[in-house]
Amino acid sequence: MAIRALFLLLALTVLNSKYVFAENSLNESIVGNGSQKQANKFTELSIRMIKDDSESACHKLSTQDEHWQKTTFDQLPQSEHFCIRAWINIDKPLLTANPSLLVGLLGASSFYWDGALISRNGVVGDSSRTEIPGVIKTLVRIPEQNLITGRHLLSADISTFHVGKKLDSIGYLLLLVDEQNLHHTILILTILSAAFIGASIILAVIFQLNYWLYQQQISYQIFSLFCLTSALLLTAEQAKFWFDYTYNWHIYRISLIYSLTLIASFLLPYFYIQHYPIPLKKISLSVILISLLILSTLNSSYDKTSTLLFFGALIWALIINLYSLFRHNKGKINVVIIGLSLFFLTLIPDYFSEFGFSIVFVFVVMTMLISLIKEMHVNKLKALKAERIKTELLRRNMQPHFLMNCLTQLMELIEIKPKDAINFIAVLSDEFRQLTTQSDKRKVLLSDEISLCNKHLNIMSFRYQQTYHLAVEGEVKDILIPPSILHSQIENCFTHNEISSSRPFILIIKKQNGRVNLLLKTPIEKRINHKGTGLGEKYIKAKLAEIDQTKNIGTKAQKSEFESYEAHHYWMSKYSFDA
Amino acid sequence: MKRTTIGCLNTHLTPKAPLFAEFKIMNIVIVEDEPLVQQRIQRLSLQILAKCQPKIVCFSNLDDAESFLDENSIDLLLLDLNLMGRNGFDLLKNNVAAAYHTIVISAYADKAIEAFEYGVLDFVAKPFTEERLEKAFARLLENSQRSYYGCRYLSIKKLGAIELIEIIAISYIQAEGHYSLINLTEKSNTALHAKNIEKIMQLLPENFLRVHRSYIVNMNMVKKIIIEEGSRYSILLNDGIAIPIGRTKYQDVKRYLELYTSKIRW
Repeated sequence: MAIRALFLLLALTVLNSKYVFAENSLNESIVGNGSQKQANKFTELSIRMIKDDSESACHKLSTQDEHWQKTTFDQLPQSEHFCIRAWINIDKPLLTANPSLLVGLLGASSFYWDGALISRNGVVGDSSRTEIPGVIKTLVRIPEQNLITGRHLLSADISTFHVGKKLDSIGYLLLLVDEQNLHHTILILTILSAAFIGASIILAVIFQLNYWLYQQQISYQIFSLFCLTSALLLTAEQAKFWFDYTYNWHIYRISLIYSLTLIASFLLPYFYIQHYPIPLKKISLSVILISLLILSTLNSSYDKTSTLLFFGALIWALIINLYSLFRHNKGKINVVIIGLSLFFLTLIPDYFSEFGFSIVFVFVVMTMLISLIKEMHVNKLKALKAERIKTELLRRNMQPHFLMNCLTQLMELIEIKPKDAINFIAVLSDEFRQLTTQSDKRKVLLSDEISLCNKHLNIMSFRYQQTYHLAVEGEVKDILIPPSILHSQIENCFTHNEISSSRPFILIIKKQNGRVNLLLKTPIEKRINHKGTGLGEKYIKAKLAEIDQTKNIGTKAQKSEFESYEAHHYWMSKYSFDA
Repeated sequence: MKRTTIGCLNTHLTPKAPLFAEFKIMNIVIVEDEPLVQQRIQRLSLQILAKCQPKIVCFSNLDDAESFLDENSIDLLLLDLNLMGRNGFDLLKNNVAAAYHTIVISAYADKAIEAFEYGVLDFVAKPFTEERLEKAFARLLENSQRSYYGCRYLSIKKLGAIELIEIIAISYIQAEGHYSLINLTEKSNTALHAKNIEKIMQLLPENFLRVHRSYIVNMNMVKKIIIEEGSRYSILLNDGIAIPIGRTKYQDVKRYLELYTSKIRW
């Protein structure tokens, strides 16, 4: 069927050159008579099986016995030795170019024109042992001297012992074509496909790089694989134009196409499942996979199965996008484009493998790409935001007023107690150093974070002449946290609060089922000028979102959480994230 | 460096004019939350104002200082204020409306101009040296010296609430005992400020002139100068009000007008 589409295309080019085969009632084809009532098929073919008798009867104009039966080219038998023949009328003055015979057939064949051999493809035999397979398509130039006005007999000896598996049809093409037009058509088809293949490979590479170098998002990986599979699929489809392989390989090529279609059909809905927040991911994926496998067993024809599979994939993609549209109001364009693709596919399934697939592929890939780019944009904004907050936070610690207050203190200490001044400088530089080194890191050890908090408390103790300290309850070991998320809350406590007594700061650590729960209690004494969610809390949320993003969403990961509220004269900061 | 004495100020600054507040006992309140910084301000103030025998009371926040300020008359408030956010300025407005002068000592140096606009006498950025604090005190003690940057508003306590008066809307200011009566360009609209006329004068921009012991005039509102009997002068304002010019102040007025305008008829 893949080749049938090509056949139709070729028909168009032939029509363009006013070079027409017309079917006639006399069991004959007429060439060049200008009547364009129907496109050129050798629909009225005769066939006779060759058993032990001589095959010479096939090519004689006189042989008109009961062994000849009517047939069509796509009904040729498998694993048989036979001959076919057809009559052709030629009107020489109307011929505009040199006609050639295009044959696409799974078999070995010898073609005769008026009883004279004009082409040999492989060696025709009476069993798989004696037959040497021919290539899948041949183009035979009909000698100039044979093209004279009048009635001609085209006949062929064919054996088909190497197909390997029962196929719907083994005869694809039997046409008289204009050679130049044929090459032209093949060239255009090939260019289109090559462009799609090239684009797919580039996209596959880009998103692989994206995955490994930028962000390990599973949807990038799926998209990349989808592009790669599609490129391979198109390559396998187009291979018939590029390589004249012997027909016994045909079955392997078709199996490859079938497998690639199955993979691509699974990856398409998988992508959307990954892209949207869809519940029950694993179950949905299983259902999709099973449905596709069932579809693949429904029909024995490879081409039909491929179409059916892709149809199934599009239906699933449409369902997922519709769900997302109603649930989150996302995916409007996707629904439209997938819907159109489905419509297109239902209407003209014959064009699918040549044109349909490419066009559907281009549209679907476009929508996927747009979704991904949007996603990347959002991720980039998130990353930028986190980055900005990080630098802002860093700047806040080195902010003029913090520094100036500390320097004022230092001036006094230098004049009154120079030794204390030196200690103060040491504590101050200690905190700054750790803050700058760890602000670049994704995650730090909880013990390091606690030591940073203690350093800040030291500075504050110095400044307010108090003894603040942080009491830690629970096991600190082996816990990693985003940098400065505790520190920023402790710092916040001083900017919005006046802590005069020596109530401790408390950190309670709990680790359960791979989840870390932290509770930081900072005392509230006399609140000055409290601003609820300040920069510090934004920073914490951005940092937690950042670690969520880098996790594989396919795993059982839970979202990180942060909340803070006032209770019992303490400001409670609750962190919860996967270890 | 050679130190001199300006009034009770022990300093190496050169005095520009004779001082009013000679050997007066000064009452100062310091509001600063960091003990060491509080100690620094107190220590340096005592050192600089040694001869004034200042009485200094320290608080770590404004809330605590408030009741003291309500019950005691003081000369100066040295205020550390977190000027981030509106809240800090609200507290500031409250204090600049009072009879005493306010000097802000803050790490938020970028807020200095805004603080001046609301009428602080000086803004000392942290960290500060002894010399810088001296300058601030000199500004307080030398009545003829004005703040670096003229204020844009006068804060006035009216029925417990703070009201801001834009400087450009003021026509003239009249001494009213220890208070000052602020006359606005809008006729018969007046407001009473807790500061005396000397203190207000220190905060006002250059176009305000002390034309009389009891009057400050916004020179932008002057229509003309009138010579009255006995070679006495007075100023006729745009709204028709005449303000007398003090004998010793006449030269100042004349100089100002020569310098800044030629439109006014003599």
